[in-house]
Amino acid sequence: SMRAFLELLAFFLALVSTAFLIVATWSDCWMVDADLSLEFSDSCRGLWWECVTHNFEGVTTCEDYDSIYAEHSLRLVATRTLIIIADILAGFGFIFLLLGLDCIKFLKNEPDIKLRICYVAGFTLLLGAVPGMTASVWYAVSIYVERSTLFFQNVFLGIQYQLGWSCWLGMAGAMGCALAGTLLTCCMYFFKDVGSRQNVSAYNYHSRTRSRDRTKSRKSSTTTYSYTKTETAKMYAIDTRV
Amino acid sequence: MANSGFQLLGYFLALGGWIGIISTTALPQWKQSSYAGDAIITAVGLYEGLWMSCASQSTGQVQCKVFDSLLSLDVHIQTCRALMVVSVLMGFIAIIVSVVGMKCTKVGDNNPITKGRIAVSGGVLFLLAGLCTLVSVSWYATQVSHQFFNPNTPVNARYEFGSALFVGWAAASLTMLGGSFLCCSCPNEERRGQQYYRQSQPSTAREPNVKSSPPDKGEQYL
Repeated sequence: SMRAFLELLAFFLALVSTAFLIVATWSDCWMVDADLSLEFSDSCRGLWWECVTHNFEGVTTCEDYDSIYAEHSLRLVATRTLIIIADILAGFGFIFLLLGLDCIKFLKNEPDIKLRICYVAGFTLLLGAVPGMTASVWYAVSIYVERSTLFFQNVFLGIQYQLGWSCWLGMAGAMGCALAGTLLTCCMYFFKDVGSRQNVSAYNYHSRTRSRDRTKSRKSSTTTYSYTKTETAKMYAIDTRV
Repeated sequence: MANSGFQLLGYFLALGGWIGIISTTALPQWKQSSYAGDAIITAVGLYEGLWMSCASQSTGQVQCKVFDSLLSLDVHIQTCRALMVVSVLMGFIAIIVSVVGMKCTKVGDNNPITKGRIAVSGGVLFLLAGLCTLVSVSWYATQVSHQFFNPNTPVNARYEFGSALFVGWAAASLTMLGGSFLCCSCPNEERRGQQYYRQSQPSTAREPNVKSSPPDKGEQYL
């Protein structure tokens, strides 16, 4: 059905983008050195440490930043905080989504509660996309501003940085989370009735047996009712059909 | 049939073990320089993994270098690499296979015996992945201790077990434990199927009743 398809799509999106966000947090290339005069080495800076790779020898030297209590730039602290919040929210959204998936037999008696779990998961993912996006876009914009001010002041000394792959990864992860959240909330809301509409008529003339068989899930109701019908119930059903 | 919770427990144990296997493969601390013996005061700590060797300075800098040549490496490092990569791949396949086979998913719901067998094959794959990791880590550990006690090795150049080895042992045992939990869903289930078969033999005499009653799980097997 449409709902199961949407859920699976959102599940894989959420899986990939949560992984992207976590990798972006711990990888070391948020900005990469753009100075062509140092052509023998690549210098990358992450949120937690900084690495220089020498191209010919293949030696990578990494150094941690100062202690977490030392003074850091506002950009670094804010990016760290926001991206960790995004990681946590996306992770929780993913776990909620796992419980709400149609093909997982958790709370299979209450499809409405499962639908609501999906909404909550989508909302959490959307909520996680906001700080992730803010962090990576803010980082990118501030690097760009820093670089262009140096350029306009004709300062070519020192190392200038441009965006590294971790920052792009963070943006992609946040975008994926936003997309999965949208799929789970808006699209699921629009397609809420599509899967169950064909069973509405079956519900109407089985009002007597419905209370007994409430435990059956709504989707498989047509098949299960055909098994549980006794002869009298069948007659009753035929009599009351409008 | 082993109940759904037991299967889930096994699955998550094995999943945790698989993540441990991945981090073992990537970590560079398979062996680290030993400070045993005379008081050796050095400013540099050396450690070595499957892919690179590192030197950590007392100033907080860490220098790593990827091994240069693939073919001139020691045989045991190459074998350990191969085993670890194989076990990561097998764990990945096992994760997908066991999701299909577990009772808590709706995939292939109308054929519980096949589903149980799929779960068992996922468990077997997890067991094999854990076994590969165990062999690789233990072999590396044997090599390290062999070199440590070799009298020809200079005292300054001796290495000890690194943290990745212990992570690897833990990950291997977790994966194997989870895999064996998943394997538990096999024999009970087949027995129960046979039980139903035996019980349903005399009940064929009451055919009209049987027809109107909802079909049991056991009768679907027939």
